Amino acid sequence: MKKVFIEGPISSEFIGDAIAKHQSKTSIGAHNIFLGQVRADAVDGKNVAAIEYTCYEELANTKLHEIREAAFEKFDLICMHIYHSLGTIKAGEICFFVFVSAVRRKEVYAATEWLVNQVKEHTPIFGKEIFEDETHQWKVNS
Amino acid sequence: MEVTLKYFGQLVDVLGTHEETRGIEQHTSAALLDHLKKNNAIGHIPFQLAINQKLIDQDENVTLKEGDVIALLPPYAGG
Repeated sequence: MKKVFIEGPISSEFIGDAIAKHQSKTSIGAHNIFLGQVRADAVDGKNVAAIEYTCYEELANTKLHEIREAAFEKFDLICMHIYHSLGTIKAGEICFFVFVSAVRRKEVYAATEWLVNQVKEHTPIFGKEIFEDETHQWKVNS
Repeated sequence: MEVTLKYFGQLVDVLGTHEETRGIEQHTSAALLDHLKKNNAIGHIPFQLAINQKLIDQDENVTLKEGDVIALLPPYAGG
């Protein structure tokens, strides 16, 4: 089972390395990347300073495996990677990284959007939005 | 019978624990869900059940067994 969860934010070095690792796969003609960034939402005059992510890791890994298998069935991909942060991720930091590669560009656009939606909808990840004054509320995907 | 209850997200906040093993009187998932929803501390929080890592649909009713691991999952917020 591929490792998806990363403790802490996803760094630009990690993303850069992920791209570099594909230079040997020369049948690829198109990559597409989605990056989710923690947004400083304002709620009742207070800004979100960070989101603390937790998950039900065993079930999440099962669901992500199913999503991955379904993506390869549905789209003509060469490879795909999904990474999601756990722990406290500050506003402005990257918490979600989806990386899809194929021979041509058409597949990667559709696959990326589908994957992002599937992960949000089906993976048991929970987010606690922490405000600047250290109060919090629980995030719900809209 | 004894089962393990696992809590996530807001439920951890409210109950102050991630997991507990305890005796329950209910023998089906629907009866247990009904019982849990009547708990004043968590009754206002939407959640679904996963039994032994399998999600239970709202209209599904599953027979519970000794040793089951029952997760209470509030709305997801990944991404």
